[in-house]
Amino acid sequence: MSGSDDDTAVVMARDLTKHFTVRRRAGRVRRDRVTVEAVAGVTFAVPRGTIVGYVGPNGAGKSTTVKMLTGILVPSGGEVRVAGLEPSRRRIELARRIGVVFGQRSQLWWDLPLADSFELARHLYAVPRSRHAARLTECVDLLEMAPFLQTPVRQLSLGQRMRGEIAIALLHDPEVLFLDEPTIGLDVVSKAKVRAFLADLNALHGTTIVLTTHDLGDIERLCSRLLIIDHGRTIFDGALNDLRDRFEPNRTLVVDLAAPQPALRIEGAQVVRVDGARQWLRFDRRTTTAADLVARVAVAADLVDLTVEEPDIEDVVARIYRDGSAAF
Amino acid sequence: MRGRLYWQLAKCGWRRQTTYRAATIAGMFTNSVFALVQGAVLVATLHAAGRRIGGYDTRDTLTYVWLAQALIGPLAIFGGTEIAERVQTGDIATDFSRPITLQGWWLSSDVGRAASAFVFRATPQFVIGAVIFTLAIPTSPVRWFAFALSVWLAVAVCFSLHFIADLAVFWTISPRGAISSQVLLMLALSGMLLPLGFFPTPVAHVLRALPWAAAVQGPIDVFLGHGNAGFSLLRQALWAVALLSAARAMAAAAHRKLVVQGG
Amino acid sequence: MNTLRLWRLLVVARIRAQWQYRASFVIDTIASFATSSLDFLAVLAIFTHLHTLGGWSVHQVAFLYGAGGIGFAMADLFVSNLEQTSQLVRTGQFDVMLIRPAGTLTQVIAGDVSLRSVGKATQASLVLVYALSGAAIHWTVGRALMMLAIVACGALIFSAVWIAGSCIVFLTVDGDEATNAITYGGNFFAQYPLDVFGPWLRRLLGFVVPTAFVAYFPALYVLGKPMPFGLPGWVRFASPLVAAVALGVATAVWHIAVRHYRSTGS
Ligand SMILES: Nc1ncnc2c1ncn2[C@@H]1O[C@H](COP(=O)(O)OP(=O)(O)OP(=O)(O)O)[C@@H](O)[C@H]1O
Ligand SMILES: [Mg+2]
Repeated sequence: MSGSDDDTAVVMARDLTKHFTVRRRAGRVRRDRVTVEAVAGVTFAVPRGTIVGYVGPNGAGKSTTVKMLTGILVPSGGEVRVAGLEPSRRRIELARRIGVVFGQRSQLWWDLPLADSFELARHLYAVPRSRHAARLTECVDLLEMAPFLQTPVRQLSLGQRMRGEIAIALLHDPEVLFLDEPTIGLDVVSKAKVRAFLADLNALHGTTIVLTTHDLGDIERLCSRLLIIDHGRTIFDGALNDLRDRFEPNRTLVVDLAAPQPALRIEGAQVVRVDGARQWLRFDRRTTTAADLVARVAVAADLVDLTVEEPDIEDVVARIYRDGSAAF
Repeated sequence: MRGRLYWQLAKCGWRRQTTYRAATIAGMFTNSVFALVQGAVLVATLHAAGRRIGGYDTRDTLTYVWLAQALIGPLAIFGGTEIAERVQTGDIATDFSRPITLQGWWLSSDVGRAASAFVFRATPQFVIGAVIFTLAIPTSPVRWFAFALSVWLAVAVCFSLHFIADLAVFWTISPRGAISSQVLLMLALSGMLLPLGFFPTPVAHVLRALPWAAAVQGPIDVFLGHGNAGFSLLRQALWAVALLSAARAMAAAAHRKLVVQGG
Repeated sequence: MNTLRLWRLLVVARIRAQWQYRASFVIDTIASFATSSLDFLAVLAIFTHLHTLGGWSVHQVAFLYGAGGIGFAMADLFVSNLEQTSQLVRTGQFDVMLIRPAGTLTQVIAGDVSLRSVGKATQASLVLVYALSGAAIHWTVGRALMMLAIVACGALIFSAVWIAGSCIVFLTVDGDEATNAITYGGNFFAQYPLDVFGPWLRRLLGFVVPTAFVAYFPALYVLGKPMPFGLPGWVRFASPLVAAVALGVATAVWHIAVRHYRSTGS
């Protein structure tokens, strides 16, 4: 990462570490102190206005990183800057400028109606009444919260509550929004709604978004940039397409022929499956283009229809998790 | 078959208690502070009165104070809100669906918990007192045996009192009221705050007849050899049986209410 | 947004939520009154055997009990939600306090108010009335003012004790029971004259945890008793200063402790 990146970076971490000392049972009475390196030297910078996906297997250190970025945890080492501030030292100042959503924690007042929580947030963040009202109307419309605004939070369904959580994190118009597993437990429709909302937020208000998730659908839909972390270390930092190219250069061309045929013999590709008139040809996109391949197939057989399959991101990521940093 | 289940539950209770080591140390610290303060006040009282009070001299009084504080852990004097929480969250429904009575379930694990607390909390707690002060320690094995029996009866009595207060949450509009009242009644009437012998004689007689006395004053009387141990044990046993039955009836009523009204 | 306004805002929200259970509030308050009355019976029982304890008559001890009790009940009313700190830390819900633009201490304290402490305060006031009725006090303006100072300083000192004591949960989550040693233990200690305690207990629970300044020293002035232990006379008037220092120290300790917060793994 070059130094100039840091100037526009609204979120920055350099050699960030966090370790926890825990006691483990070792025998009947003895207990040993063990140091868990939750985050072991993470460096990245997020330019203003981007959406970054932060993924990794369970226990990779994602939540711990987010907690250091938001001022909840004091880092054990390294440097963090969010909106130019050191989070744990200037926590209150920072809190006015960022929004945070934890899928696992609630910021709403559980025995008050949702609307009351929003009203309390207005005072808490000292948002002018008119701006708050405008923002609230927007959130209520986009997240379709009108039907349950007067319901006590404890009676809301998970999906309804989560929309409330996102709204309350945004009412003070933060520069950066951190989300830790915002779509956990949501159904397909609710997920789509939340994703669309976040995409709009980024497009309209230019809000920088840092998002951890286990749902790669979130990443595909939203993130231009992906950070993969495992065992507390970054193992990938780049665009989603780079990830595919780097870890799975092969693409598959699926062709429907006029009639069933034995496996085609085409230069630069290999038939991996035949099913009636349909054949799957795998090729390396670094050496062969899909266009060339289609031309060659058209010469060899009677072509009715075709599609190019991208490798499944789930498969790619699963392989990275499995192989760990050894993949590099 | 059933016996095994109870045994497993008790073991589970024992194990759960032992995991909270920091809590045990913190609790012992607090109990020691209270024992020091209470001991100082009562000894000053004895000195000012210039005589024994209710059969207690300085040594008996200090023994009383440290033993009472030591028993807080095993008897869970302040504890027992877990069942109440489960009633409030509705988790209690799953407890009722077990192949064992609600009371059996909780009593078994409480006995395990109490045993663990007795070994790891009460004993070191009392030893601290015995190191700082000269305490009256029984030498006769019979007395020790009677004391052990008495503590178990006290555990049953305390468990039942908590259990009843916790289940009261089913009926009362104030969940906190019933529980905190029970804790404070326990403190005031059991002899925890003041040995019952320090109260004016007629009051002391009444207090001794109440169930709370069976929880704290009972075992300590046996330990100190005050009064007739057999009579004291008998009174405790009667209270234990009465309260366990009451608790059982209450659990059944709660179950009916749960089934009929859905909680 | 200043701390006081924020506190009021959050507390009003809590009271609104509690309003749903007002019958429960009435019962809790009565229970609190009744059971703390039993507590005072122990003091009366002691005095059936003697005339003075450590040189203090029953009315004078009742003065300590009542004056200190009001302060304690007020601290209980306003800051006893600090007892929830261990729960917040254990569940990781404390995270939420740290992402809001407000002090964590204010947020925890304003998390709830224990309205039923009014019952305890009423009982302590009645004990104080009993004390004043029998203590034969020679009233002056200074002594009357001191009565007000006792209540205010008591509330502040016990609040400071509660704040400082709660910090232990940031170091060991299960350590919350130790807090009771200085909060409830401090209150228990403050009910009796300092004269009955040995030198170490006096230093630790009287001066380090400054409960002797809650009622004991001001009471020496109001009741016109001589200074004990060769202490200078101004100590009787030091309570406001001690309360201010205690609060300062307690909040500083809290801020240091919060930096040790480790959240939870999930
Ligand atoms: N408060 C804590 N105390 C002790 N260990 C912790 C704590 N918080 C996290 N850890 C440990 O640090 C490591 C990273 O945890 P973290 O919660 O950051 O993972 P994650 O990437 O968010 O995982 P998940 O996808 O499961 O949410 C884990 O090994 C976890 O056990
Ligand atoms: Mg996580």
